Amino acid sequence: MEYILQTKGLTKQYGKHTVVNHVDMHIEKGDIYGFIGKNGAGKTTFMRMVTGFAAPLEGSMELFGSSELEKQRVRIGSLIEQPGLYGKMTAKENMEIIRRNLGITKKHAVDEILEFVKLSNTGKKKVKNFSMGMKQRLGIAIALFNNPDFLILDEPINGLDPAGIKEIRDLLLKLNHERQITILISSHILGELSKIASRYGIIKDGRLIEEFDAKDLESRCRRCLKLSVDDANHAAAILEEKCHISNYDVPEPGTLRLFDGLDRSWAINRQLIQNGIQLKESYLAGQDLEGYFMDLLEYGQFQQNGKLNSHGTYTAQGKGGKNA
Amino acid sequence: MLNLFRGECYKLRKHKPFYICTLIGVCIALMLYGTLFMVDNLEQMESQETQTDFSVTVSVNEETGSTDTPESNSAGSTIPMSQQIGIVGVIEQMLSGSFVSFIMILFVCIFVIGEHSNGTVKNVVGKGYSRKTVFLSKLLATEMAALLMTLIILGGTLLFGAFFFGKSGIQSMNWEDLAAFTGMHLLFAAALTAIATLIGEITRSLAAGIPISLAVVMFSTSLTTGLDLLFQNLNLDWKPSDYWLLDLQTTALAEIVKQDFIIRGTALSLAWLLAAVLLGMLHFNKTDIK
Repeated sequence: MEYILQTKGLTKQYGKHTVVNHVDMHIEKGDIYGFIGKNGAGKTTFMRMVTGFAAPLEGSMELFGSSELEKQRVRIGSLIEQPGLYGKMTAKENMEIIRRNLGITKKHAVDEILEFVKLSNTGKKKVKNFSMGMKQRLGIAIALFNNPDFLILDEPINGLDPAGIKEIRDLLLKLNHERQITILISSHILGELSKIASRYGIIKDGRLIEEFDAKDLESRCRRCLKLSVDDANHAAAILEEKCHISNYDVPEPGTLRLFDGLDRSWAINRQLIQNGIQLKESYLAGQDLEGYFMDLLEYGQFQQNGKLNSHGTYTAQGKGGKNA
Repeated sequence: MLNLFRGECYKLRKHKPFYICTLIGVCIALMLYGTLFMVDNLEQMESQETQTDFSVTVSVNEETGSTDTPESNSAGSTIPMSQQIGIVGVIEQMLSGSFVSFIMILFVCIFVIGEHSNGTVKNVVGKGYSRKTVFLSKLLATEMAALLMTLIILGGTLLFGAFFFGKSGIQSMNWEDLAAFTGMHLLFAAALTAIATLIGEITRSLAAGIPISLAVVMFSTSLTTGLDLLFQNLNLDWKPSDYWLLDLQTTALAEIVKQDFIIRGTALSLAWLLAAVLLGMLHFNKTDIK
């Protein structure tokens, strides 16, 4: 397994306030890693440490499997918070500065990258007069200019209209598929993030509470029949023997989630009651991705169906099977 | 580092405040000449009025038999202000006074702090260059621009001088002294630029950086004078003003011919320059980029 970024116990403190607390993050090659957390959770600070804008207090990190960070950071393109642009210059002039800074000798490179982000027709228009979407795209162009293998984007779709969001989304998918660029992206627009991310990391109060992939998330958000019973083990046995249902889990004591047989819930309920199970509740449940994330961030649902390691990072315990 | 320097030079070419500040400097020189000739005209008018008054006085004196008055001598021997000051005096006002320093520092603050307020410093840091290299390339470009600005203003002052004073004004100048004075001033300017860069780097905000830097130019000499007096009262044989750049700058023209001043000025400028560069580099290396 080739990791593009691997951090171990990465910590950052401002005064007495710990902004990033022992974060162990793993990003594999080819991932589009959605980094989710509320405002002030530590997303930007974490990204700034990875890009070298901020120094960690504790912990270590490896980029492209190497701990020679300064050398490896050449392979990173980043857009942290607002893009760094000269408002009184044109898009081309902004890119010319970057071209010279990076020592790119090919003069057409500027036109090519502007063409790629669809800003080649901006002419003499000053960047300060650009729309938010145009500025973001120019920021992405700057991040992409050195042909990075790893792109770090901090809320790149903030403030964009739906068309702008779609443009950025398509652009990122294109970069990931065509250029095999690994992407770490944070966003508050969770629904949008779920359309592109292949892996997720949830950060809360500076701690990375959970890391999981898109398939895992899909299964967690599946529609299910949620049963509240007095004896979950006994109920599980009845489900398997009498109802022939094996696709279920026990997220918490006394609760079962059934992923099969949703269309015959009445028969399942009757079977359980007939076998002496006290059925307190039975209802069809299911969440959209945004609802799932919100629950996770708000109530820390991770504590119910997983366990925390020594640093407070959640480790998922399988899915869909017999987790009782 | 060469790549970064190239980028900085390109940026400088497109940086409007550089042109505006330089133009303001040249305009101030023009205004100084204008003021001088305005004072000449006023004095001339005043002297004509005095002569008119004098004729009345003479007529009164004729009655008493006296024709000689002290006013008549003084009115006749006044040398015009512009002749007293000359081109060199204007250059001295421009360089040794605060004009060029003000403009230069304003430009340095805008150029250095702008990188932080625009967030463009993030486009360079972490791109394979060490923080030290990033800071040094920025400083080098700023120094180059500040010195270029000083030379352009000096050139403008000379040109306007030639225009107002004619050939005789230029011929009467001591070019050797002017060259030494310019050289010394460029050294002071280099050190002052490094100090302004350091202030800009530490404050990273135009609202703080510009007032602090300007306060250094405006009030530091008063402060050193105060300290001189304090040490004198304490019977301590040490004058802080001897070691401060701006104090040296204000006395530069008067002492330029003295070799020991050149040596002391050069050594102190380099010391201040080095100290500012080291502190700036250390700060840039240690502080997070926002």
